[in-house]
Amino acid sequence: MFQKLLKVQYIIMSYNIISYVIYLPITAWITIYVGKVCFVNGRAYLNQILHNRSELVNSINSSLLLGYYLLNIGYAATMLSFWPEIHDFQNLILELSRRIGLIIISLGLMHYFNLTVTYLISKKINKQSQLKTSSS
Amino acid sequence: MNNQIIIIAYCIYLPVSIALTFYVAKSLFKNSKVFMLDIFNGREEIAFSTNKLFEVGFYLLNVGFALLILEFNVNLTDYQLMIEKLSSKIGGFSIYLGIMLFLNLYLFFRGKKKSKENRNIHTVSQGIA
Repeated sequence: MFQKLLKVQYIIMSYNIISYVIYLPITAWITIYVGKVCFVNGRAYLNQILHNRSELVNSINSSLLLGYYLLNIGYAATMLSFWPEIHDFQNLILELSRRIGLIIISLGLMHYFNLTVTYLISKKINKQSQLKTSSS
Repeated sequence: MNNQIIIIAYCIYLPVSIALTFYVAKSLFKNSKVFMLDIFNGREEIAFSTNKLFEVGFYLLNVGFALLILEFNVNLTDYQLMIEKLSSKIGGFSIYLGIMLFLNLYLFFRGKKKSKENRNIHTVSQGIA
């Protein structure tokens, strides 16, 4: 079944191109989705840190989002040049899942790093505000 | 023949592991809203956004790990071997998920304890003032 299906496709394109066509939309979608979630939910943190100055919050938030997109979509696209030659359907699934998994896991690690940084910043700010209230 | 067994194994492993991750994340983060409200003293906006951020992080780490360990180190020659390897792989993955679940629960409990301590200090200092 697979063989018959893929023989038709083999004339048109190689396995590598099929894998690129699957890989690029999936990683782009995941990156954009995660960026959106962080953009919407990070606003609460920025409001807390910057004391609700909404203009500053908006500009910082959108420039952070832009930087995140550039970094991650660039990373995903650069991975294409380290792609091995794929000869059969089994290797196609294996390589695709490996590469997408690597991208997703590095996104996750970066996400946790960001959470830690925001936690540390908000802790520092809490301490400062406590000092202020106790001294006054 | 050999090739087909590996493809069947992949086709079973991928949906099962991803569905397991989604189920665990859903039930964990439905119940963690109470913790978050407690940690942030009932400030709903920041509590729910923290919950959502942790949820996305959980999905990313675990789905990524599930995809990363897809490869079978052994050449699958027959269906018996396939079932054994598949079950050890899915079992290992669900143990990993369980450990991650308890790690997240530990984080929530720690946050709860810390915020309680902070509140106590605050009330004590206010009482003195």
